[in-house]
Amino acid sequence: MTATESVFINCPFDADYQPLFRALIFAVQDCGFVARSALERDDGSEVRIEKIRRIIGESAFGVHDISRTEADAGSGLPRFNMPLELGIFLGAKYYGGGEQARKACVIFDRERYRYQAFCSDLAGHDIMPHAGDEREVIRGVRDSARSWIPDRTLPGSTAMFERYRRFVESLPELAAGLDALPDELTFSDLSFVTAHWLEMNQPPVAVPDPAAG
Amino acid sequence: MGTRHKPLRTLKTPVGAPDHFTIEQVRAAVLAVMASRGETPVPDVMEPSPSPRQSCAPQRHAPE
Repeated sequence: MTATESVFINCPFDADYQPLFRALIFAVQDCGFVARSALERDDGSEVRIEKIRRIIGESAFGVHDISRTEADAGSGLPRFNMPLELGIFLGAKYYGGGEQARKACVIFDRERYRYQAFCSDLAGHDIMPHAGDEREVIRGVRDSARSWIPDRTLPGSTAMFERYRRFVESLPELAAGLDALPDELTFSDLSFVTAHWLEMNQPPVAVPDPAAG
Repeated sequence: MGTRHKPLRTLKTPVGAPDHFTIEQVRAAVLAVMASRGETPVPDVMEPSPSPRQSCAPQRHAPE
């Protein structure tokens, strides 16, 4: 298996965003990919932007959420880390050459055309609105993954969300079984808990796709 | 004439290791919680994760 299975997740990491972050990790993994993030563990010696650049270079796909590009109450200025990382990803695709040129990604925002007010050069990219709804990010990742890897059957987005809902219901007990609270689970912890929950909860129906016939 | 189906996606193990637990502890916690909720495990297939430093080109699989 190669890093063609890696999906770089570029999103906020604050507490308010945690439900969407969990949904993104779940959807990426349930589509058969490896979720990658700047939060994954390293040896501590790598400068953050270098770590991000490395992970982007190792990831064939990306999930970018620019919904938190908004004026900060204190400074009046927007945080621009997510658009910057999206720019690095697109730069790798356009200038990286070779395999980098085949990168693909999905871009989320709260509303479809909000980006026009702060990053109008994104025009031409399909921005998926999620309105802060976990169901929408799951649908967006799943539908994008279907075009990235068209030769795989994926669980349907409704079924995927239903399984995600059961997973989230179980999460407090799962964390307690590991002597932790759900919010104490790091990205790596959550990735493994999600992966092994999925490993024990195969989708009920592998829906055949007539297009594959 | 038979109908050919695309294979179901295969789960991948995450990169690295959990920060605070062992994989065995995670597996045990998942099974314990499912048992406590009266849920029956339906095992899926999970492959080892790739070496992240390999190629990032999307793989194109030949049709079955």
